[in-house]
Amino acid sequence: MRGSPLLQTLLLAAVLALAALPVWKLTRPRPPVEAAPPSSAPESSVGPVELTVTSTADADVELTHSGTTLWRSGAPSGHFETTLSLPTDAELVVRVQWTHSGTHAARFRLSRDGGLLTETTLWGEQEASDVLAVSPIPDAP
Amino acid sequence: MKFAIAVLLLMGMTAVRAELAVASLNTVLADVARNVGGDRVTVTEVVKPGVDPHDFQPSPGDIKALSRARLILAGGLGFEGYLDKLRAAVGHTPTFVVVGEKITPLMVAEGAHGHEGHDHSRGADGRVADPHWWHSIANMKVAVRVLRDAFREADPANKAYYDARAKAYLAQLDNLSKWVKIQVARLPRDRRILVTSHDALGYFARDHGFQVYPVEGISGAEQPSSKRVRELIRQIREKKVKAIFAESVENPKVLGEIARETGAVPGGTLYVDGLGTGAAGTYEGMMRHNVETIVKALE
Repeated sequence: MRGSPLLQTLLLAAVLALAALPVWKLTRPRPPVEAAPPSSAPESSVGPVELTVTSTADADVELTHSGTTLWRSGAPSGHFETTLSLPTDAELVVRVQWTHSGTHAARFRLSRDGGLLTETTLWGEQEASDVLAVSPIPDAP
Repeated sequence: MKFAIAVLLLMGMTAVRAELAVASLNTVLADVARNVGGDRVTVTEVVKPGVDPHDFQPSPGDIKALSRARLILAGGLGFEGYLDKLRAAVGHTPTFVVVGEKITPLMVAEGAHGHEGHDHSRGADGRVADPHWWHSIANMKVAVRVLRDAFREADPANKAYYDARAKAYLAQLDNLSKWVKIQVARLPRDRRILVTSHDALGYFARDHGFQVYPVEGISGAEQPSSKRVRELIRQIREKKVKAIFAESVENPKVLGEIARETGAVPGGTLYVDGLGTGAAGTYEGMMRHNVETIVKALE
């Protein structure tokens, strides 16, 4: 005697559903990746670092890290001093905009407890930018 | 009589403004040649933008054109696998200027490179030279000096001209280098990961603190192993890589699969084996395009 057609159909549907499950898992779209948070968070900073900027003419000065402004000068001046908390192994973008025409220079100096960490001099006519790489800063004794 | 005078004048003008005939097997070097040589050289691009240099083999017509050149420019480091045969075919007139011979190469593990059709320069430890040296601006400055010196030797009457143009172009490359550094500094170090079709950006990665995860060995004829693809997917997920990059000439089908499996978005197209067209038709344009594409996709 033949099996029930309805039972056969239900059995076939169950087999197909079981086979479809792994195919569905493989082909379903995945959600976009959320990028890891940027590493510029100050939790990896090491102590205070002194920034000194000297310029041949009054200027506006800005320091950024990973697109975030760390420090910006107030009124234009030829000399700035401030203390910053920097991430370790940082790449800082330093930007200077002079208020007077002509060729000018600005020196950016980072030091810690009086000892030089790194410095760079920018030359330009209206503005200049560069990257100041700060190697991993040794812990204070 | 008037005709004879006209002919003599024309010959005189031609003699004064005879241009140095340069043929290039590399689109980047063709651009350098135009910048350094100005209107004192004619540059013939044998490999043109948009042509896959991996698949390129010089035709009889190309060999004929190359035979007429005074200088033939090549990238070297094994990029032009046909170079030895070409030397034999073009005869003794052209001088080959192989810039890669003056570059300190990055040595990579064989198979990391993902190319076919190259006869790589091989080190004693079996590692091979990465021939894509132009992705380091420091290497480009070496190329400028090499071409300047070659032009000076071939055309000493225009030495001062080539010196001045090379100096100007070197200054342009210095400005470009600074611009690249500033753009890349926008990316935190842990986001400097490049997933690309093949391993052509090693010099750029070295200069700017990137890691490169290439889909190895991909071409129309060769696919990466499933083990390699699984490992790549695992690395992309683990490092939460935001974007993967296609290349202008050839892209493996598996790149799309990797994007789907990891959720990383297509970051854009990069020019890696030479120049493109339009704005990317010069070296500076190519670098600016690549850097802007990378930084925008990963920041």
